[in-house]
Amino acid sequence: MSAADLDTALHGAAARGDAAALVGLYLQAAAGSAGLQAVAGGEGRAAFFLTQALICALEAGDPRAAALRARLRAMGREA
Amino acid sequence: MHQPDPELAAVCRPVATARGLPNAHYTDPATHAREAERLFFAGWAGLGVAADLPAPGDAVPVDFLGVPLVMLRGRDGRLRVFQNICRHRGMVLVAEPRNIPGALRCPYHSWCYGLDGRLVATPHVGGPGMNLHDAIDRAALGLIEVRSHIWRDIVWINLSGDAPEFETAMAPALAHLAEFEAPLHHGGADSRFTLEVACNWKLAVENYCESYHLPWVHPGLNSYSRLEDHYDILAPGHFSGQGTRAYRPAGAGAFPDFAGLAPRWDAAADYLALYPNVLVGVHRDHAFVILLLPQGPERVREEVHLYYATPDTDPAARAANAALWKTVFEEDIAVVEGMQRGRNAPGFDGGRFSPAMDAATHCFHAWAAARLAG
Ligand code: FES
Ligand SMILES: [Fe+2]
Repeated sequence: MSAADLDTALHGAAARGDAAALVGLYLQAAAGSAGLQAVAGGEGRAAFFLTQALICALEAGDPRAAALRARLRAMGREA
Repeated sequence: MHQPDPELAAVCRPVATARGLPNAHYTDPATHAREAERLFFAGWAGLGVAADLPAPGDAVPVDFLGVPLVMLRGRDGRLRVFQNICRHRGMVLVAEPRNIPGALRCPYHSWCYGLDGRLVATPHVGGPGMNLHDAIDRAALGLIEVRSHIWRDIVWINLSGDAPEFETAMAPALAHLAEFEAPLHHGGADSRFTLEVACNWKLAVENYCESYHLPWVHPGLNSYSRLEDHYDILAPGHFSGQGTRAYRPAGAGAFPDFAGLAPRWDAAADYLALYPNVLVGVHRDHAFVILLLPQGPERVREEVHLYYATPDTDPAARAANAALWKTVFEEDIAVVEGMQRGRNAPGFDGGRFSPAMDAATHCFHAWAAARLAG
């Protein structure tokens, strides 16, 4: 998915209140950013999207929240 | 040195010579704010009913005399009451009653709280993608819990946090209704209704306390609940009301009786105003509660709930019983709204009480005046 398509899909999922889709889309965005890790700020960008995914999962009671929290914790970015 | 307020002192005189509370107690925002502090926040008051939150995750916001509160049913099944605001920038958290499937997310910057009030996420609080910061101690920033207690399905709260324990503070009411401790089953959607009334909340209490008005305001009710059959119930400092010795079961015996009642309840019913804002009615075969939620000095929301001894009562009989009570309570609206308009007459002295018929009303006024004085 291109960045533009991802952006459109995120807006659509947010407008529908589709938390499960949002978690998936933010995970995709994080995966895309992870490729940039060599670039300055790449990890931060991935962590940003992982955080967005975590919050959507937490609010929805989505079981992916635990793994997301663990990933961010391993990055030193979550408790 | 403190000067006793002569108007409040006049309210506390014996009923034969006492006056009612003066106009300011019905119309003035500053007096209303003082009543909120002294009559509602300092002690135990009714906030809502637990039946409105049957499932884990259920959330019901309530404006409690201007204070934003929220009732939450936790995953552990416990109902808790919190201030309905985020510890970050004070955003209101829950705008409408709803079920929260996971965490309670603040709509502003998405700090997330567990239904037990713990702060569980602080996204980007240390910068983008960094959810921690030394200055933000999650353990110290949970939702602010309000002391609560559930009795007769009513969610009671003590906002100040320093009233005596519920069982101590409410001991006289608990004792008076001890026979009615059998489990209560809310009748469901057909057994709740809300009335928005243009009067000060106290007028609803005052009118509920007394039977004097029955022959005039409720001619239908009086036919089976005659004035002569009524008695006063007075527990100074706690509650007052009236009862009848001529109660006939609702729906001609459609509902099973509560277990464990003494024979006197075959034909008796009690109607109590538990100060400040909880009105209850108990009968052998059903009970109701009216929560009075003031909306400023000149408006009150009356939330009415009916309860039965079993969970499987006949829906048609339930609906008919709710309709009957709704008619009765609607008949009261004209008089309480009329008394409210009357409080705009300059110099009204608070009025007088019939020593024979208004003792329960005076009992309520004397409680309020004593708490407001000093
Ligand atoms: S005000 Fe709630 S997260 Fe900022
Ligand atoms: Fe009435």
